[in-house]
Amino acid sequence: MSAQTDTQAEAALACVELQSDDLVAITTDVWSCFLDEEVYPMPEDAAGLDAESVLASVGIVGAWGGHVLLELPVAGAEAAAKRMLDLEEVTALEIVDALGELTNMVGGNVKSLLPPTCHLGLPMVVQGTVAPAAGTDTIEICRAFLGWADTTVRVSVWAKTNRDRNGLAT
Amino acid sequence: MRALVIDDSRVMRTLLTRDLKKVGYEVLQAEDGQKALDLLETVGDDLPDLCTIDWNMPVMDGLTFVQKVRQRPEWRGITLMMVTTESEHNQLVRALAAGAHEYLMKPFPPEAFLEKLDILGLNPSRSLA
Repeated sequence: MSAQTDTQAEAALACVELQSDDLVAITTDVWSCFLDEEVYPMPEDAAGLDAESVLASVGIVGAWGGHVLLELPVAGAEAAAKRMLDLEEVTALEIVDALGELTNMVGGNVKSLLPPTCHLGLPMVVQGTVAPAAGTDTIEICRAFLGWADTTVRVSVWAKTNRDRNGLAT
Repeated sequence: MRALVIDDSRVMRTLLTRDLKKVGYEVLQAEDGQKALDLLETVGDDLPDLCTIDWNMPVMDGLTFVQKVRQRPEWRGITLMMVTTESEHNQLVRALAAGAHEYLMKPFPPEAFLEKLDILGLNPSRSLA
């Protein structure tokens, strides 16, 4: 991490005390309530999230700005939607809806740990390769990897740095 | 009994509808507050006994929907339950001050929703027991 990125990260972290354990607790709660399944923390190097994934994001604005990102491999996202809806087969739209709602719940509970007053946006879901938001005006401040049903769930929180891709203030 | 489930998430509408039907409700759905208001305008005297309302929705959010319903005396018999990820105390207070009767924070275990119905006296399966 460069000196400039370090500074940005420190600034983004200055107003939040969010820990990886918080993300684990929140995600565990969501999975337990809506998928009736246990998730468990797993080491990052065992996560295996290099395949194409479903990425679901929900923005937070207000006293704190950024977003919460939930990532699952495509097969894991499909399994989550099937479990959530209690269906044998699910459509792509149902996967999008399910991941969006899971992210909405994780994001809403992350928001409760942020400074007041913040507002939650509407979730967005895309399918693609896992690519951290490098080069944008956000920086990852916290992440957790969880195992569930032979798949991996990555939850991360990204803070706005008010810097563009060239490091200039926006 | 009739319920109106208002949520932009089709998954949440499906899950809540399933739970409500299990205990004997006839369920209507709307994907935002404005569509829910439009629906209430068309049902005449067949108003729902209960509305479950998400907070964050496009077009019209749940809090605005609650405020709009409470401005209509003929709709005062509808019980309004917020079902939302908005978990801060001030949000709960805002919803109750606007006229919501109950507030359920997501995520919640399946039995928590039914417990809220029991509290409100709106669980048809309990009434029949």
